[in-house]
Amino acid sequence: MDSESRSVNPGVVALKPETITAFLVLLSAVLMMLVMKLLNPTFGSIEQIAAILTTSIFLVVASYGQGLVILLGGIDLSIGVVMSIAGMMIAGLTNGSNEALIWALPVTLLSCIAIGLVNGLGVAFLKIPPFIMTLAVGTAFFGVALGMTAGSSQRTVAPALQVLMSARISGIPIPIVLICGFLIAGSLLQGRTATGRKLYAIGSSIAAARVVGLPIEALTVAAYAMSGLCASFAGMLLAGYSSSATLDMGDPFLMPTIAAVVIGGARVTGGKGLYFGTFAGAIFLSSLSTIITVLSLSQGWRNIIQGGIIIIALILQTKQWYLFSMVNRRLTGKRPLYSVLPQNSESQL
Amino acid sequence: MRRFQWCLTVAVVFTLISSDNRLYGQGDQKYKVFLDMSYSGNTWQAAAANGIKALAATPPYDKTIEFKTIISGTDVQKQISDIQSMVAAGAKAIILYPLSPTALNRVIQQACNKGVLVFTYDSTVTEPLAYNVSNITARYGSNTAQWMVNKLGGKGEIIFNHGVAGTAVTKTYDEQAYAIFRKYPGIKIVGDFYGNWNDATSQEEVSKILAAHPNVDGIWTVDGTYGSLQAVIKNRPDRLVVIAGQSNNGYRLMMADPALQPKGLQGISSSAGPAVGGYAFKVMMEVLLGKKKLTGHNVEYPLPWVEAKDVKVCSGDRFENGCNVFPEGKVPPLFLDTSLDPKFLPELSLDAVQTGNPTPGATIQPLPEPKYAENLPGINCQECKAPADALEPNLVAPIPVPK
Repeated sequence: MDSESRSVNPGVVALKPETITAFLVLLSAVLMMLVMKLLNPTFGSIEQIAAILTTSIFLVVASYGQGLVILLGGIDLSIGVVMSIAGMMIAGLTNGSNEALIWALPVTLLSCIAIGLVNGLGVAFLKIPPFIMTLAVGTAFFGVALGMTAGSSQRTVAPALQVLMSARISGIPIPIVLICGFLIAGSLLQGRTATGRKLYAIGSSIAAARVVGLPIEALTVAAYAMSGLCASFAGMLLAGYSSSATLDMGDPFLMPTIAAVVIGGARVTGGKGLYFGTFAGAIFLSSLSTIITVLSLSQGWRNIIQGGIIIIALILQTKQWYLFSMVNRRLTGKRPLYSVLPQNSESQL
Repeated sequence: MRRFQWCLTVAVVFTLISSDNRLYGQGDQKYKVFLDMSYSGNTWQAAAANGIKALAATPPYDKTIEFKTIISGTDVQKQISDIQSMVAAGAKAIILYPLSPTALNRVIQQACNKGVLVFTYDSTVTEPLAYNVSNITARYGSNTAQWMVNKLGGKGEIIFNHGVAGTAVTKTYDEQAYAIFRKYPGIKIVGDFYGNWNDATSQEEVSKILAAHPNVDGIWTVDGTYGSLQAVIKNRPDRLVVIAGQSNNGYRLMMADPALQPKGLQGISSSAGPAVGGYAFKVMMEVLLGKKKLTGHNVEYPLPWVEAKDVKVCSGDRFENGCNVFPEGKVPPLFLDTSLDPKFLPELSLDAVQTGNPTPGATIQPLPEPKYAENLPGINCQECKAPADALEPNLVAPIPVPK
């Protein structure tokens, strides 16, 4: 595998399919905005773009966890519920007081990590299929939250959290700074650490990972716990943005987290995908949602477009691997095996 | 031997009848009454159910009825089987939030034919044997749209925040509001979206539309009003909007905020309130106990209507002396002030609608004669005609179309 990747023209190696996909997706988002600008000249000021980016933070953060889980070949269907629970907890525990944040923040984060841990333990040790495990855990914890709150909205969120979502640093809205920070930290963790690489290895071939002696169960549990943590962050930011919390506020984000990962070029069966791609997918979906809203499409059309884009992304993904193989063959004269691509990408990370 | 068998049979039948009596609660004169909720995961449903539960535990109803709550979720098939189970368990009256205007008709008819009283609250059914108590017929869409048009002087850019796609309420209100806005060519709907009655979603979507249409003058909502207004305050704090919508405590406080009004904020607090649940329950109980005889099957709960000038902050835990909003911090900003109704539901306090516990010392007060609702085909009747002016406002006088 190494000899094969070394023999490939370095210029071509740099253009990994996931990176190309991510840039193409980002480019599509920019193009959509430009088209919008043409249709509506008042659209597109810096302030307006900042407002759109601010609303994308929830998806950017929550889909990171989803991306890690999908990297392992799993899926986390409890994200929407965890987001709602985090929002309800931070609002209920702080009750409008900044002082309470000191303990409410870790309590909320730990509680949501615990939900992720339950998911991970079920998938890793009890071998329950991820979609069933996470759906069941999400439903059960929704029940717990419902029992404790009776569905009522919670008190005002701590003012500091509200300020976090509306204040600026040197003229730049804090959410945008957070997005940049999260992108860098997330990409480094996923792509540049030994743990991240091990996740790719497990996702590519669990049998091979077992032979090598990777701690598959522990890393699976860690990935689901990380997903809980990200959903928790996203839920708290959403509560800060809305100044209040309800038990259904996280629901609209579940499908988009999966869509962002898929559109970003990750393979749904695991082993391939960059956080930059997921990030691009999240920005793309937020832009698309803005365009759909501004164009006032009916709900039916919105659903058709959003569902259609996921299907198109999956089709393009398959075709893209084929095209990538063709290009590689032309440039190197060798036939890169489809099955070695994930390992190939792993060695490049 | 044969005589023994005969005696045994009589004894078994007698036991069954007597146990059946016990099941039906006739021995101790307690009626079995069921509340069938749809979904308990949101603020509105929780407040409505708490109001009903508190009233059921308020004297003398606490001694009169055996009250049980069933949550059917969002699955209409489950609601059908739940209603069948309630009838089988000896229900004398069922109050429910129906999940469909038509799908429950057969099971409701079966229940009514067995002498069970079936009342719906807020949402309605077209089964003629059922009693609907709702304000879906109170023309929320046309009244609020006309109010907005009047405040905007007949022209301006507006955002249209639909509710949940595919629901009877959204269809009805949208049709009414569109009919009014279309009359005024100066009114331009520059963006519309399905906010799903959700404040976080509404806030996001309004922020996006404001990015494309920075000169928006008004927002029409059914719910998600607080979130919609938050979006304007955060993105365009110096120029606010004319807005129509719900009765969240935070929204009412903002409407009446003297710091926000000079920036152009004008709001109307209306929409469907959770108190309709408690009101429907009281009407049902009066019919069940023979204190009231209804002449129609569709009862209209009055449309809440509070403008900024009418907002009055309460000092206690009840809406008394004309007050209609709680001070900031006493309740969550999304608390629905229309959970309470001092006119029809004086038995309820803040604690009652938040916990479902009865108000200490309260006793059930009689209701005035109800107002009967007009027909809305497919909503509260099947073979019927809507009034000719069904899309016209009946609370607000229209202004002439500006030239």
